[in-house]
Amino acid sequence: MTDTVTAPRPGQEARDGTSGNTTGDHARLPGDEGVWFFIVADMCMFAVFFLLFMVGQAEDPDAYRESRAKLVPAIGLVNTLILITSGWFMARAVNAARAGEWHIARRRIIYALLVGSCFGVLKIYEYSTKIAAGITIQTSEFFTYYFAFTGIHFLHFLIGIGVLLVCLGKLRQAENPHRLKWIESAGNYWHMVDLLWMILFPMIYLAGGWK
Amino acid sequence: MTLRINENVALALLALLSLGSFVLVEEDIMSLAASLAAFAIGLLKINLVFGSFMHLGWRHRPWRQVLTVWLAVVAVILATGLAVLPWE
Repeated sequence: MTDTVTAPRPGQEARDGTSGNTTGDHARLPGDEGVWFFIVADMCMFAVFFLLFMVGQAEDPDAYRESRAKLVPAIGLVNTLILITSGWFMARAVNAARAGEWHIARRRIIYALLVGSCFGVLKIYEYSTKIAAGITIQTSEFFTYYFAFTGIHFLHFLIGIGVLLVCLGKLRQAENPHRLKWIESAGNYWHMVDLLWMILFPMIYLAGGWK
Repeated sequence: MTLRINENVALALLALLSLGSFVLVEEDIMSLAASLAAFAIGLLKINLVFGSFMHLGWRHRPWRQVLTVWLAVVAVILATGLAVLPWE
C-alpha cells in the first residue's frame, strides 16, 4: 500500500469541524483498493441474504409477522445508534490521521472501539434472552435467517474490532509510511459493518409488520 | 447524488433518521407506507455514510458507481418484497 496523500494543515480540523478532506471530492480513493473490492463483494453477499429473507417473507408473511413480534425493536434501534456513533468516531479518527494528528486519531479509534463494543454486549444479551426463551435457529424460518444473518454480521463486527485493534498498533509505528492507508481502510471496513446494519435493522425488526 | 456534509451534522441526521424510522413503524405497524419509509430511510442513511463518513465521491470510479448500483438493486429487492405482502 502506498501513502501519497497531501495532508491538510494541522489544526484545520479544530476550526471547521472537518479536516478539509471531508468537503472536497478528492480524486484519491480513501483506503486500499483491495479492501474496497472486499467491501463490495461482501455487500453483494448480503444483498443475496436480503433477497432470501424477502422471498421467505413473501411466501409466509403471517409466520414472519408472528416471529417478528418476539423481537424487541428498541434493541435494534439502540444498536443502530451505537454503530453510527462509533462510525462517527472512526470518521473523525481518519480526519485526524489525514491532518497528521496521530495521537488524536489514536484516541478517537479507542472511542470508536469502546462505543462499538456496546453493540457486541447488546447483541450477546439479545441472543441469550432469545435462547433462554426457547427461541433458536431452528424455531422458524424467520429465526433461522435472524440468527444466520445477524450472526454473520456479528462476525464482521468482531473482525472489525480486531482490525481497529491492529490499527492502534500501527499508529504507534511512527516510521510506518502506510499507517494512513491502514486507518482509512479500517475505517471503510468499520463503516461497512455500520451500513449493512442500516438494512438489517429495518428488514428484521421493523418492515413487514408484526402480530 | 453524494450526500456529503460535516460529519457532526451527519451523525445528528443519522440518529434522527434512525429514530424516525423506528417511530414511523411503531406507530403504524401494519402499513406498507411505513415499512417502505423505514427502508427508504435506511438507504438514505447509507448514502450519508458513503459521502460524509467514507468520503466516497463520484470521482472514485468505479467504487462509487458500483455501490450506487448495489443500493438500487437492494432498493428494488426490498420494495418488491414489501409490495407483494398482504396489508391490512
